[in-house]
Amino acid sequence: MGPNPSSQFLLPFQSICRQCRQRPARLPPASFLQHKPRQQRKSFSTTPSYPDALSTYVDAEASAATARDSLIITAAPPLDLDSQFSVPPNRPARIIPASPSYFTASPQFNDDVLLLRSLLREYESLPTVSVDQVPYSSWLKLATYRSKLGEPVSSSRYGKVLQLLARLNQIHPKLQTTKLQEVLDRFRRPGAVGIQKPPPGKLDAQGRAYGMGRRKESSAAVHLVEGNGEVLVNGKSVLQAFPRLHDRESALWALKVTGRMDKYNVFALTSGGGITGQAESITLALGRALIVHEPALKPTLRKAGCMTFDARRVERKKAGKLKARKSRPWIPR
Amino acid sequence: MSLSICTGCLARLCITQRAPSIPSRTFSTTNPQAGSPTSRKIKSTKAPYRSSLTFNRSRRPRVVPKLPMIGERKALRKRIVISNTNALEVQGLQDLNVKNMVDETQIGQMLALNEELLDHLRDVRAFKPTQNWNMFRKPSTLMRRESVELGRAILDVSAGRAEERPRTVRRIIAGERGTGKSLMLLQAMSMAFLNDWVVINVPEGQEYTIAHSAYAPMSINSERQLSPDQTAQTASKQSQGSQEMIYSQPTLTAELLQRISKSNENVLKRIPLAHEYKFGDYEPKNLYSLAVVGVEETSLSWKVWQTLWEELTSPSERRRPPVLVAIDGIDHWMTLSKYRSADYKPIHAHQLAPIRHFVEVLFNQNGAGQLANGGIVLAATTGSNAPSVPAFELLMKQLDARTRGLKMGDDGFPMPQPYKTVDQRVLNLLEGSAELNVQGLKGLEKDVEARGLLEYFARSGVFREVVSERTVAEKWSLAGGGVIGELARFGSRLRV
Repeated sequence: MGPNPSSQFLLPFQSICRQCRQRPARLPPASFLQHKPRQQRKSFSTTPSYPDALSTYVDAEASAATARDSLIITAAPPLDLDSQFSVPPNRPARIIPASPSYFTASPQFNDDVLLLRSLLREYESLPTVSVDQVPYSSWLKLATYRSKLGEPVSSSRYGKVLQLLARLNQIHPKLQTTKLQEVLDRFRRPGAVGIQKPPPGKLDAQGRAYGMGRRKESSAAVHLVEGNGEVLVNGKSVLQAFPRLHDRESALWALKVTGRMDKYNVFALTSGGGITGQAESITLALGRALIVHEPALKPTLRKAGCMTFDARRVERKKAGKLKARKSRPWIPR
Repeated sequence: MSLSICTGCLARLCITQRAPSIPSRTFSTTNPQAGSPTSRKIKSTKAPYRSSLTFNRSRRPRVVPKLPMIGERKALRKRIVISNTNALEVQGLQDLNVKNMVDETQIGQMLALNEELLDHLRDVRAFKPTQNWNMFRKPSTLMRRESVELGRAILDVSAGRAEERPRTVRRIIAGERGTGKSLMLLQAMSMAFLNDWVVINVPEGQEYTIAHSAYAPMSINSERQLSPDQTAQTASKQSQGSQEMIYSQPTLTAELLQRISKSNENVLKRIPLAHEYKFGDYEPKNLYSLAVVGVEETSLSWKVWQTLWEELTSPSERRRPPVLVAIDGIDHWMTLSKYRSADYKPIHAHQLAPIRHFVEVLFNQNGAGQLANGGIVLAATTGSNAPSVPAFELLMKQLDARTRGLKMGDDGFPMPQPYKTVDQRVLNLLEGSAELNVQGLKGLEKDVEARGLLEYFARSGVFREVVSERTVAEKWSLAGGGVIGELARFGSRLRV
């Protein structure tokens, strides 16, 4: 709604409209309505900001020329120490903290967040590698990080930090600057390099690949050999083990998506939990066994969901609740 | 002077006269003139004197859903539709005939059942409601390796009959659920009908043991039905442990005779009786009219059945066709039935006369299994509705071991556990049943049979995927190694 020219005359400020029974808002000044470009915030940087090198050089030359013209060397005026108003020239009127997050509750943590964000802003355009080719890295655990800083850090906020770290780590290793690597190294868990990653599986002497998987309360161990598509689950046919087609499909999903159903024989042992859980634990175990035979299938299997561990479990019941979250109905007294 | 109205309201003020809004009605298909205003009762808003002012739920008329008629739901459940005009017609589909039923090149092909055969099979109750016949234009069956082998056996017995050296084949078809046991019986019956055999079918063994039909005691020696006085005498004798009581099942026997007479009408009408019989006022002339006596007079049915069996299987100068006996769900016949004796003790299934008869024929007990004109006795176990019968399971293992060449007393021959009581009636069947063997049905062969079946599904329009090596392999594995009942499920529903 545009400003009505007669609006100033209509209603004295503070009186109430008869129609809508509301106090009219004061119109903002016209200058406010004009579009103003938003000021770019200066990015935070840990490196001291030096004046531009080229301009410094030019300035130095010019000043040298003037100096040569009027080479009059004069001493500095003596300090007036007696005067009570005298202030050293480089001292500001009030002390400005070095870090912008000095006044926050956890300044070091905030500094880290700002640092990582500025790095990400700086290197956002650099090419990245795909998720499965990212160099493996284990970041500091929350407890370690807390004790290192000595500040309270919530796990959700540290999660944000981990997200930033993961994104920065995804930048192509050859294009990562030393500055970036130094910062990332500060967040790496010491001594964790090369421990976390399990060694790739091997076929045993009989040509069997082994994989294990878990889902809900079930666990499964799969032995996979080259064959013609026969499947045994706990010594029974897959039909007897999983009467529902959906369960059979999810158990053999890894072979189905890769079109390897008639290339391997599956021998699975599964226990615990229910039928769906057992079928889906076989999914994971079969996927892991299959990449031992054919490591190149890993990206396909990951997309098909045969590589990802599902850590969800049944939520526990809480005291005062009927189930995990269900509360008793409200009864009027 | 200032108006007491704000800018927003002023902007919204409409100076021009707006047309009066027409009350619009939402779209509805109901007739607005449905009830005339005069006929409508005007309800007084005042509550009647001394009545409850609260909303009483129990006063409202109870809405009782209209239940279907008696037997309607069962009829719907048991209905068998064997063709579907919406299904695509498969081009080049051959009919099953005497020649191609033994042709090895037909393995993996679907063969259709012709109209005449369908009538016979319907009359003999060869179709089951769970077999997906309603998904296809023309009922047809897959020729498996086992089917061709069965066809050969049928031709072999027919040839033996021609050469005056009758042969009897006895076989139990076993396998897990959905492996095509009942369909193998259906194929056997089709082939037998094509060769003008007499087909005797027991479509559901459970019907004889669940105590849903009439039964009456009779003595073992005469196997005649007794009068009530005699019944009491024999019952007391049995309680002394002197003799085992046998019970007849007249209704079920009459139904059996009806199936036989209806489906084998043409064959039976051609066969005159070897002896003269008189059942009350009935004087049958041929086997067909003999069977009809049992259908019409239920009380005579057991005697008629015995006569008919005698006529069919005893050696005679006149040519008699070979007999096919097909029994489905034999597991239910190997345990206690749901019938009770006069002492209210459970009756064993082998004490029921029809069951006793067929079991003796199948296991060749007391020489009952000798078919003078040759024939095949086929029995199939049930996979989906199997009762837990440890004795029969053991018997099957023993038969299986014997088929593999082991003998009783050999190492590895399955024996009952020493400290467990096992039904000896069942275990005793092993003796004398030398010719009986067990045919274990498994899944289809992948490359020929499973592919042929899926191609037929695709050509009928119920399987909407490309039938390639990959899809066949996938479905074969998902169906537990080509179990035909599971493969058929891929064709029985649309997966989006």
